[in-house]
Amino acid sequence: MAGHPEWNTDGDAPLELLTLPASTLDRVAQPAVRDAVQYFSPDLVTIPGARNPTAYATARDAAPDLPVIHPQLGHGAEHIHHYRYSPDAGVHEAPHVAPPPGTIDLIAVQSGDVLSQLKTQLSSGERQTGTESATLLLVPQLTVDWDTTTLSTSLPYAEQLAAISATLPEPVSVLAGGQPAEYYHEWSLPHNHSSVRVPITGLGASEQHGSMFAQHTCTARGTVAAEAVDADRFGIRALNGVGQSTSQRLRSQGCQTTSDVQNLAISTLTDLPGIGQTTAEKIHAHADVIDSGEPIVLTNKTPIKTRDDRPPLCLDIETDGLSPTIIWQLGVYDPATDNYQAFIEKQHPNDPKPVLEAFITWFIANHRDRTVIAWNGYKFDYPHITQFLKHHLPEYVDAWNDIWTYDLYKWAVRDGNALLPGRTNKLDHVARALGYESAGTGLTGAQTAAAYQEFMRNPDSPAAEPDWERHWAYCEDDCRALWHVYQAITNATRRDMTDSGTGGATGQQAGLTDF
Amino acid sequence: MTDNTTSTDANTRTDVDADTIIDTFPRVSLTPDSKYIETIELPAEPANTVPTAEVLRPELADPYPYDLFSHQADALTALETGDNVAVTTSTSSGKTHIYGLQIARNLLDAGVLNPDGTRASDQNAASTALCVYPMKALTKDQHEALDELYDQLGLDIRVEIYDGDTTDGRRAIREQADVILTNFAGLNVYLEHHDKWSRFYSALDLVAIDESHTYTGVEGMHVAWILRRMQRVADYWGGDPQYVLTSATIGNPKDHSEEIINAPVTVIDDDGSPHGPRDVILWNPPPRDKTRDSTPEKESFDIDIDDGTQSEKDDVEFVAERVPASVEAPKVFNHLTSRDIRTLLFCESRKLTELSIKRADEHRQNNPREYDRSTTVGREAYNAGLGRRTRHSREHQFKTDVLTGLATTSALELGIDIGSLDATVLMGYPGQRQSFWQRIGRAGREASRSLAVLVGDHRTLDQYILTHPEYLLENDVEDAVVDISNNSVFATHVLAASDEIALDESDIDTFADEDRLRAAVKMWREAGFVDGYLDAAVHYSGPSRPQKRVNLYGTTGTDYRLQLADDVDRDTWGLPDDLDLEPIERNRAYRDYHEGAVRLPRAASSSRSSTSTKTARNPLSNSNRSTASTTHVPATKSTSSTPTQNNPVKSTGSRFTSVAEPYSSITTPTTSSISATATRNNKQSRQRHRRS
Repeated sequence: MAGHPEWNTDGDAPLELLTLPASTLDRVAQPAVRDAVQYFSPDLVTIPGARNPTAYATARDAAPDLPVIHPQLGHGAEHIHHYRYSPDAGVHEAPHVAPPPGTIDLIAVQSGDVLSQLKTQLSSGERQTGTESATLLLVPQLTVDWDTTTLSTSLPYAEQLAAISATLPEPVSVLAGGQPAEYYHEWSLPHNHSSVRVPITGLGASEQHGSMFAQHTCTARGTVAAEAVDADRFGIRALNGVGQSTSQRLRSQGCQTTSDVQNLAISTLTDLPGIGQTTAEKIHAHADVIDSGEPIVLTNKTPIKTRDDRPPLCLDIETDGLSPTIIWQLGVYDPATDNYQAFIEKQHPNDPKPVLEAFITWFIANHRDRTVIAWNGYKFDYPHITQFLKHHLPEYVDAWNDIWTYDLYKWAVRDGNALLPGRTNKLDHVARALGYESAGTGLTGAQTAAAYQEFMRNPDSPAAEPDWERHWAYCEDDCRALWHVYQAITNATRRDMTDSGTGGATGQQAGLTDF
Repeated sequence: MTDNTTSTDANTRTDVDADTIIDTFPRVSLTPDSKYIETIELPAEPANTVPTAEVLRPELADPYPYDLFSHQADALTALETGDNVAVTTSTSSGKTHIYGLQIARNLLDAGVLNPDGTRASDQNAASTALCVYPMKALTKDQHEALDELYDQLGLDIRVEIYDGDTTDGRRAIREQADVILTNFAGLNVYLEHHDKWSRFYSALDLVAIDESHTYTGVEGMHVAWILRRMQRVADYWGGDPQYVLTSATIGNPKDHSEEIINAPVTVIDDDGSPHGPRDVILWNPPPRDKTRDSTPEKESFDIDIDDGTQSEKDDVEFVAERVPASVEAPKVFNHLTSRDIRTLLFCESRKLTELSIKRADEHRQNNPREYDRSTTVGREAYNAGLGRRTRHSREHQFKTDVLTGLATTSALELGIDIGSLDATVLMGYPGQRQSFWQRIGRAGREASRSLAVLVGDHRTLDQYILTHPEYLLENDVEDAVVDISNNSVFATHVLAASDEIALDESDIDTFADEDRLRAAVKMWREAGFVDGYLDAAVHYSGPSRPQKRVNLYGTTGTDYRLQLADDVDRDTWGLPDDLDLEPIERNRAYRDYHEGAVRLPRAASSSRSSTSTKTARNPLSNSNRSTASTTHVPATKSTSSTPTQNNPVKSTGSRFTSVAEPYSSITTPTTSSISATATRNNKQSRQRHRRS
């Protein structure tokens, strides 16, 4: 499914930066780190946070062909590390010459104290950056502090960051090592009696934020999008049922990767303490799933019930944030007719009622006897629809409650009825791992919500108006991805472990497969 | 309560005359004219009533069995005109009936009830009420009280408790109850899923806040913000409630109430309820004779011999050291209860409640001329550390006259129903006039005489009061202070509020004033916990359940459960199978239950006689050291163990200041015969880091 070329990060391959937090590197086995590097396939690797030579060595060993940025070490009195990236030439250290056009610069400083020096170099021309494409400024320990007593935040080195940003003509984006990986905020920093816009993205240095590896996708325009994955989804820890101690024992038996575990006999697994027959089978099954990219269903339960033999409708909604004031898009894909229908609020973003009314009346009129599935519907889509109906259209609440609604994510993941490939449980990852080809809108959920929030603040401004077609395509993509996952699950092989799965429709009870 | 249906009415009443009490006290040197005793007589107050039919409609006035007290009438009239009302009259002045009757009015007006009291329909989406109490015990009492009221009035009103103890039928209560009773810690958490309460909030007509004077300090700040968040939620669903606050006498009821609910309040403080004459004895303990070897053990043997040397000392104005109130007050307590006078002894700590019972028993045993040693007097300790079952049973036993006395902490200062009583003994001045009057106000029924004894401690303030009683009598009670200007508390509630309903400009001046709100939103946005701007919507985007960050009592949120160690022989020590003690907060665990600590649980009553002559051990002594010739009092000791659960860090983390790890103090119990292990009972999910 082809998307519009301009949706995909301006058509040029962006710079992929992988963050490995030092504390996570301490804890995670080397093969897992290599697995992560292979999965993310980054252009460079960075280790933000406090200075840590061991972590640096570990990273270099796991990614021998990639530059590893850890300027905190201050190698050879180098306080500033300067890299350049272009899609053709890849990443290389920057010499003190003018860069070719279309080059993204990434400048990493040993610490914030070096920023003044950097600013001087940039102002004088001693150091040059590409003026067309973004420049990324990596400050490994930069952390935003806040004080609830004075209700204020403080950004260290704000002055220097503003000055650098003002000096350079191209967009400047700051990568703050000390902030969580999903942190993003556009700061307005004072400079020379006016202000400068400085976007700051977090890299996720410390384990306080969870043991995540994060990949940041940096475009020439200066946008940075983050994808974080739990470190335990790599290496053999990724296997369902393999914890810290089990993975150590498996490694001592020579297993480095999930394929190695796959090749172990079940009896070898059950010999390990704490691993019984069922767990061993699950581990094996999961290894098969990761290897083949195909799901396995573990129980005899089915995810849904339908009134007839028609497939379920696939639902997805978009809101303006996590405490929604409006559900501004509702999309429904019907596999029976291969038809997608969406309802979008394009004119009055402060009035949630019209779009909801359009949706609910159409749905009740056409589909009240159909089954509906959503991904994480029980915690997101359905409660929000119900709440908005109660608030604005209470006369439809009963009719909506009569609809047969199911949550495929809950059935598969939370209730343990299936094993899915993919490093996270996000729909797009799971779908992609199952071979779904995305429409490629290049959007993330957070960006979508942010775009609509901007529209809500300026409903009459053409500049703030979202690209409706792109958002339509984004929602449709999710619905189709959901259908793809549903099909993969219903067509998957069954391997009954026990009947320990719950939820979903009551199928036949399976017997325990013990022997 | 305006009615006294407790069985203590049947009890033969014993004279609570102050002079008689003093005369009969087993201390020769003590007379009513003694320098150390002063009796103040407070006159009786008659009832001031209003015929009920003048205030309530016939459907309610006819079945209501009493006339209304004037303050009840005033309050109900004010409520009828739409005012919020704060009622600051004494305990047992019928405050519950004020909001109970208003709720009945609302339900009749809304057509939920037919005029004959039957339900017009099974559903109620027209009028609901929320009643909030500071303690679960009070909630239960008030549940009974409201049920009783509505029974008397013949009204089919569904009153339900919804709090941490509610396990079954939560959904049914949310969807069907007319009146819901809870506490603020619960309300804080329930606001997260307010969509499940949409019916209740859309119809909310009344919010009753009981014992509101207790909401001061940190707890008061949180309550004030929780109420503001609740108002947003009610407003979202269409509810617009009236407020009734009931309170003890404080110096600033209007300001305090308005600060709590963020709305204007009419104060009703002219108390129309009656009370009988009251004698207040200011009792200064005698000097401790320094020439005697007064070890703590010996002190509790009440060897008061009038050998002439004492009276010489009486002439000396300045006394270097007195018997502490903690020793003297239990003697007074024994004296009163031994004379069948129903008495509460207010102590300053949980440990003292247990100790006081022991000392009271000793006083009784050691004065055979005055007290009949062959019988026992029912007295027990009461405090929040006891398990729920134990507390209930003691409340009930006192109420039904099985017990004549309770040694309690401030746990019984509030209006928990224990029936009526005739005397209170205060072990030392409680520190505030407000508390003093509230405690002694618990005694007395209708027109009969009651007694209060303030046993002063050898502290400057107590000694001052004993010699300057006008300090108590002529000055106003203290103010209750709530300061919502504390920004840290405010900032936490901003997060919770944004999670419940996105913040926007309509919150300016309704939730908080503009500058503060903008500053907090900007801070959290820059710190990464919220998204968006007030001119559109501010969404919460931090770690889930920000409501859990609200800590009403300033505690760590981790509770420790107490249990006996496996190697303890219960029979030897006379301990029940189930200790029935409340889980305790971490600081208290380290303070009271460290290794080597000595605790005094009450043994089962059957074995009490065997322990009554034993002495208390020094709480700081090592268990190995034996004290010659005295047998050990059974004690529970404790060890703190490291948290038994270790969760690998998982979710999107937070940058909140992490709670310090409890220091891993695993030391296995040594030779102590009894030990209790504190096992951690996590109330909140905290992220812990596992060191590999």
